[in-house]
Amino acid sequence: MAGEFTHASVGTDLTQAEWEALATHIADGQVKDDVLYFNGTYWVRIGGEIVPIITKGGNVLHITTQAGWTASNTGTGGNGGNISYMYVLTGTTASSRGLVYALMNGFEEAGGIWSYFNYDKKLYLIFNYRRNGSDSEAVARFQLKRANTEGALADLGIGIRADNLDLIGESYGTELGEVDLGTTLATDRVSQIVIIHYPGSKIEWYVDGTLKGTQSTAAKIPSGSSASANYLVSSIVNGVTGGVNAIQAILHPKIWQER
Amino acid sequence: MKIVFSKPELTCVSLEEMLGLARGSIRETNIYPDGTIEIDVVKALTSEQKDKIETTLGLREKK
Repeated sequence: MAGEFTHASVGTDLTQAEWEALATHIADGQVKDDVLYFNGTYWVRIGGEIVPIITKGGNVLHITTQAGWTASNTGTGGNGGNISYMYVLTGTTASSRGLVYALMNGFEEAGGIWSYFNYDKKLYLIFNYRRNGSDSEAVARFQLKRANTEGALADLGIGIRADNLDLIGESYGTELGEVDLGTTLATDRVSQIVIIHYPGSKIEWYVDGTLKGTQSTAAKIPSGSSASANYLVSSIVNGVTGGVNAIQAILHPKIWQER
Repeated sequence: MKIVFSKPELTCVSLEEMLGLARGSIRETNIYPDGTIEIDVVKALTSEQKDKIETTLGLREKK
């Protein structure tokens, strides 16, 4: 098939040197700056740029952090942000909550309802994460889910939870799944978190480029259409003691969903 | 001479303090992307308390 690699002509018999030579495989129709892409059957050329692969091959969104979020806070809970990050905080009053949520629209295509979310597509959720204010009673979460409220996943969704500074991966298909990511964060430092959802197969959580946990139990992996609104939710709650302003910050959040 | 102003902090506790309410009198505040502010109170606010919110925060109650 044109656009793949082809074999250079080496005559009737291959010598060992010809077999090992870099020039044994040559381009067949590609031009400078092309990118090879596996279309499920063949390696084919994509003209010129990597950007079309990312954008046309999926729904990609660099999520805004400064506007479009609804805040729902209690006690001394609060929220804020700028163009590169967003935070929720508890303040120092006990039993406070900082929470923001935003609708995720346009992630169900091919005849699906525009405002729903298709969990049968491969998904990347990528963000930088910061916790500040160590409080043993604080629980922070960043979730993509079929709800806009605080708390453990109780419906379709994926996300992370920080029990104070300890990271846990959360997911829900028909039941809640929790994966200890074996990571204790340092306060006021940023870690990149990547969640990859392989529909019907597994969910992976990476922290700073290292795979820290995998969920492969089918019941704990979301699937199908959300069949109702789907949200991103960032939240933090403290406990009955209070006294510490615990903060969760999400920086540079991005989502990519296979088309 | 520069004079600096800032918006008052809008939390349940700061609102309770502003209105002289007991802690827990305001369950939740919801601030929507269009700027609408919803305050969920345990007991209805008096007209004086609503006036104070409007005056202090520069808001108008939606009816």
